[in-house]
Amino acid sequence: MRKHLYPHLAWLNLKHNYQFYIPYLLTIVGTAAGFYIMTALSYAGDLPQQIRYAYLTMFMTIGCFVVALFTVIFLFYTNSFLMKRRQKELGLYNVLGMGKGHIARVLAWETVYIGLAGIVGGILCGMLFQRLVTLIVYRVVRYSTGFTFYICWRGIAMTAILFGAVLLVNLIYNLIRMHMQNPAAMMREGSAGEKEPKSKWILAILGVLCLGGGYGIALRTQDALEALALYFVAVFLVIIGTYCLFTAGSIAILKLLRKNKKYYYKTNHFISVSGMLYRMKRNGVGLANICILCTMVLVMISGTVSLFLGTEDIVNKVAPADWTSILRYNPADEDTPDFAALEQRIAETARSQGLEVTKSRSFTNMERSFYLQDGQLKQFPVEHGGVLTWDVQVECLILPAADYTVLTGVSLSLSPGEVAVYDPDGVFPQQGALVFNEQGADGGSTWDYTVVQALTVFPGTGGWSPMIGAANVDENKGCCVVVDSLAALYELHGLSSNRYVQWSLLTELSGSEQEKLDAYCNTFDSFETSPDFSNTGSWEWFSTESRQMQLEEYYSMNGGFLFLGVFLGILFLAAAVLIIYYKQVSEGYEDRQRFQIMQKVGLERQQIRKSINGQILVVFFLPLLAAAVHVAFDFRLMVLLLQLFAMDSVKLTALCTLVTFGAFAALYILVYRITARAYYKIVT
Amino acid sequence: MSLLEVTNLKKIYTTRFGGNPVQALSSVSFHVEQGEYAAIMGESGSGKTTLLNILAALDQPTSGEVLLNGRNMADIRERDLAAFRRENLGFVFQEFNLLDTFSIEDNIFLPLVLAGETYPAMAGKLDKLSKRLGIADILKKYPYEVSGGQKQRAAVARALITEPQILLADEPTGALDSKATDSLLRLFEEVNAMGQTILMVTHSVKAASHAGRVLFIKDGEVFHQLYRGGASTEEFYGRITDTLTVLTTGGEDHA
Repeated sequence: MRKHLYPHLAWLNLKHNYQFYIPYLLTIVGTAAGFYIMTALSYAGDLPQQIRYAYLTMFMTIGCFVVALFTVIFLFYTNSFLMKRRQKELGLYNVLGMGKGHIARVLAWETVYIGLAGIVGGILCGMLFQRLVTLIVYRVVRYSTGFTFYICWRGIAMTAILFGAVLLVNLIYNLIRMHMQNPAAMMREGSAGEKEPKSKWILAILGVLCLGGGYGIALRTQDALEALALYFVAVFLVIIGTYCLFTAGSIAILKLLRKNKKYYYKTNHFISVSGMLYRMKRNGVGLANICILCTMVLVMISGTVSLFLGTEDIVNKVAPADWTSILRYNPADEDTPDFAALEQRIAETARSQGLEVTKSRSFTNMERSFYLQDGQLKQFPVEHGGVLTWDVQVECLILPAADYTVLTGVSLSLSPGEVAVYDPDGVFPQQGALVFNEQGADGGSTWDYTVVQALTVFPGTGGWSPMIGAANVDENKGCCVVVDSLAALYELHGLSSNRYVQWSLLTELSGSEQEKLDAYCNTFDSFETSPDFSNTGSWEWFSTESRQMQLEEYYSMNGGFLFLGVFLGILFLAAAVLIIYYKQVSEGYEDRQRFQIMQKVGLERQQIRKSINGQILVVFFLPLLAAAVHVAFDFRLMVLLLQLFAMDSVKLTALCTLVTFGAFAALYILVYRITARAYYKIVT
Repeated sequence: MSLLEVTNLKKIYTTRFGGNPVQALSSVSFHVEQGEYAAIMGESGSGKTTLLNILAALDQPTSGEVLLNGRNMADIRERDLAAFRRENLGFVFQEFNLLDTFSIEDNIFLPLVLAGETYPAMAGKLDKLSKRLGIADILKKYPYEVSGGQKQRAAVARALITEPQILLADEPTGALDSKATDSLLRLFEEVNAMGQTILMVTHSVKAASHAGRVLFIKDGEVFHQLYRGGASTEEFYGRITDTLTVLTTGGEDHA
């Protein structure tokens, strides 16, 4: 019997504290399973090997690190929470005559049980779901090759080592803590309320500064690269600000409420406000934890979902046709390209792969930036008193009227010298001249024009788009200028001494997506098999992009992001739920006696329910509200960051954010109801 | 009509899985008159606490009835019970049962807040009471900042602020040192002198000797009762001790 005493005691302890240890065990199982899956995927032999799937391994490695970091922090948090709750119990053992060495043995056995169950269970769950997760990953990155089930021994070893180490460190921490306390102190029930932090003003000011700084960055950032550089600074500031303000702010608000006698001395306010003030620091930190986790979940999921859903749009912009061929040439050369021959060669290439050209469109355009100075658009800005200043830099896409019709279906009739302009920012002067090379030896030249029509549609030309380029630099504006003929385009080319004019050929093909992709891979994708384009005149550069290829690449990247975002989002969500659960259940046990006393003094059952609802409502919806504000400020940064991935549909991002928030709030309300019920059951 | 009439009270506990039923009270009958100060004495397990719980409407008797001011407590609907307790009964407990989340003042306000009274009305009531009970200068403090005696005074204040028909005290001196005990018993006498009816459950002879009448409970029945009459506290103390000796050693001979 004596031999089995400690394992037996350890087992009884766990059973007795099941309300706290079951969630703890589930946490270990869940995080271990997540970690195993991530390691298994990052070492997977059957991941797609093509270069465009290289991100996937990288994503999984990042995922591994995040899950590991999260595990360490979160298991420390739950462990210290559990041990604080069990102080009295352990103190009792000590008083009853168990030496600290004996208690240490019991604790060690508990860790062994929890560790074995958690790690083995976690790895088994991981193996079970590995297949499903792999399937999901392949689905979102649109990789269709089959895969096999395998056991990743390396993943098992890493999971066992990581979690074993974390639990061991937790145990050592618990033992050290126990050795530093005397049994009487351990048994004493903490009846004194938490003291107000002395530094609350500093906390409040620091909180306002940090939060203001973070929000300021979010509001002032102008372009995607700046957003990328400052994003984590802003996140860091907002996190610190949230902790400070939730602590200082919640105390200040609660004290104000207590001062307001009319408000405070109402049954449900009376009980809930005093309860929250009693543990004001814990309350504040708990609320901040929940708020930050909620924000993380919302940002990660809405960002990656909108990127993923925007993939088709992005690809349509980059590659508007099945095959998008772009040719650059100089019209001043004598031997201009033979466009008909080039079109013919593309069609032959398609035919050689068994596909037919179903539609073919071509257009010519030129890009040029102008500087608006003294009401004129100039090729180069002119010095005024030694300073080079201009009002706006205007990025112009210039193309002939016929080509504009090809791209948009809008027909225009223009005479020489007349232009139609797409100018959303209203920077283009209605009448005037384009000024070229003003400070040149010959005094430069001008090209007079009159705007006769304002355009409402911007032509998607594929490849470079001034709308994307211009959005990155706030001072720059994007315009599309339509001239009457190709001759006018060539004239402008000559005046501006541009290097080239661009001719694009948009080819649509018959056949399935896969056939189109194969056709491209068999021909254009490698140097050896590339079709012969000799004897088609003189040109500088010619290349063909495949829409299907772009789709694959974008989906492999955006799908990887989506997977990572949702996976980590679920992990953080589970953590938030667990924190809320622990908070409410442990407070329920603390409040139980209080509610019993109040019932003796004459508290009605209905009043209990009301006051609990009041208190839990604050605990739940204050963090959600703050998270919503954080997300609202973050939205601008997210839109800018998404531009780095060529995703510029603000509408889609807004929609994704709203839907994510709605779904999240619904889930949150569910958790609220469950927790409220658990709390109510405990206190009555 | 007496203020409190207890007739043939019987309480049998049965365990959930049909174990042996335990008879806590077999047949208890007594009256408490308006303005009386009565103590109930008995050993552990004699049924004192069960009796008090039934009087406090925290528990229902198996049979028998309790009338407060002629009103049968069994007729009160479940959801009106809390309000009934609040309006008619005041409680003082051995462990004070003050709430650490409230200051002393707010603890005393608790029953009034539950009854939905406004702050000015509550403050007016407390003002009179706090001077009488000598707790005016600790009102803003928290329970864990004051002594046991002060806590019990605060608990008495909480019980009295609703001006209850009857003050029920469960072992009120049990957690107090002798000085605090003396002071609390004096307080009870003063309160009683001003007309407050008090029913106290105790097994402290000293506490009981301050009462006007002592009821002895044994094996779930009122076994005996003593009236103070004109006796001093010391004399009454002696009589109680004698009775207790008979009770524990003699057994059957009814006095």
